[in-house]
Amino acid sequence: MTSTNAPTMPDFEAAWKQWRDLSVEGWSKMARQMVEGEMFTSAMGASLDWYLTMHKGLRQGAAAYLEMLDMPTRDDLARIATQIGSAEMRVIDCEERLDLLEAVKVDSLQVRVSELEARAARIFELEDEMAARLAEIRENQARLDAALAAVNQNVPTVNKGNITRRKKS
Amino acid sequence: MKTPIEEATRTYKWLGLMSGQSRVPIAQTARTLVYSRDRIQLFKYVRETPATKPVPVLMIYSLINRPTILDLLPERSVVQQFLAAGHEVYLLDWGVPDGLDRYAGLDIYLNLHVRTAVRKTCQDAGSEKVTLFGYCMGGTMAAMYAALHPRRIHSMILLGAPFSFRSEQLLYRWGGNPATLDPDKIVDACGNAPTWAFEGFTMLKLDQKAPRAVALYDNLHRPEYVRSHLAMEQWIGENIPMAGAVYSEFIKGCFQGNRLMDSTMYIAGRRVDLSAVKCPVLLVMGEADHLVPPETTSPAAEVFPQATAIRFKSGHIGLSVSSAAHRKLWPDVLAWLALQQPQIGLIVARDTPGSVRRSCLCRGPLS
Repeated sequence: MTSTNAPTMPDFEAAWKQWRDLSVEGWSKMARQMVEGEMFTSAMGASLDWYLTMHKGLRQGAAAYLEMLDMPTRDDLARIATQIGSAEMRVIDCEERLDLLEAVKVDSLQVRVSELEARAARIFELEDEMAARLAEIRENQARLDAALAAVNQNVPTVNKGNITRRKKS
Repeated sequence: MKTPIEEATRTYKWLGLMSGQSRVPIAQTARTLVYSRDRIQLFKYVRETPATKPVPVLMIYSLINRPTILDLLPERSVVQQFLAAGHEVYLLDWGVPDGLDRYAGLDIYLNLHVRTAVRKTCQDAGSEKVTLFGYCMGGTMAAMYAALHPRRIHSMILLGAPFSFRSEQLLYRWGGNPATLDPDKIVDACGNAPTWAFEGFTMLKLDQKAPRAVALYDNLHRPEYVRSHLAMEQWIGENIPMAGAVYSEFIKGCFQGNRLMDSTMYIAGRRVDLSAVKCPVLLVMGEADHLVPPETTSPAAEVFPQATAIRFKSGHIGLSVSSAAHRKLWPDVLAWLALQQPQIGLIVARDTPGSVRRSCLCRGPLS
């Protein structure tokens, strides 16, 4: 016969998780209060000051040693690097000015090209007109030549002093 | 209920993952190198199909971490979103600064590096203008650049970018107080701002460290969760140093002086006036962003002449990597960008002096 009143095993996993979550929450709250407090800020500032003072002393000592050996320090090289950067900026300034000038130049060149194209088109038109006129002149010249030829047939010709008159028919 | 052996195995696996030895491949989208100058590199992401949008996108990230967050995993990649929308995508990778960058300030970063990157992007893409995409400090720098050199900027998308550095959030209480943070002391002692100078960001969410570890333990049976967790931890561990001059200039000018909003910030003698940015600007803010809370971004919407603002329920990093952002936020961002594309007219690119190359014929007003 099964017993419905048999004692159940305690859920150790759930209990452990509950304890864990409560501990973590407590720890987080403590950490948050500590970080936001003035004492933490002051303590951090004091330890930072101490470290920086010590570190600065070490750097200055190393720099003095290098100067004594007449060797360039990292600071010297950093200043040179900054000067190189400044020179590069001047080059970029010049490049940008050139770009602007180029843009203006290209725009004005395009206007000039359009003007020249219009003039060339006008010249071609005039050339066509001249060709037409020339053709007309040549035609007229040919007609004039033909007329003169006809006139020459009806006038007396001079043959070494003998004037021969042709009888008019 | 798990057996003791199963629990032990699980704990062993969890400890292995927590040790930081396991790595997953991140930033896997193929890209080619367009230009490099020392450590600065300009990459172009490889497209499988021809671009359908004429204006290329140039991504500018923060100087604090690596830009791999923009392409963390294939299903959580901002780069892939832009590629899928038909854009040519370029990334300006700052590299890892060293001692030679000690005196590189905002003048060098903006007027040399960003300006060169914009020119090279225009040349390579055959476009007169670019769309600038800036994330976090990269967004602030992108806006500064556009204020100084507006000619080649078609539009801007600024994601979690601070402009007004006044907030009750812990980061601004720490960074905005010269008594708490003196950048000149750090730079004086170390040259560049070292990697540990940015551990403060981790401290801001110290209370989340333990819950994240517990969540990893509870989700060990989900491979995609584990992969995502590892990818994030890898990126978080990739903090890089910052060039000394730009660190000092940014902390003193922006965090402590808050000079950007009242236009009293000067770079190489030129005033940075955000109201001179005439192009369309999209400001994207995370409502739960503890690093760049909305109150540090929204004032810029009043200053930029053509600004649109989107608020999304997300934290700072979630804007770029959360699955919700990739489902809901990025389609809206890309739709906004599609509306800004030129519709009618001819885009003419001059890639070398004296030459004119017609890149595409499309419809829309030219600006």
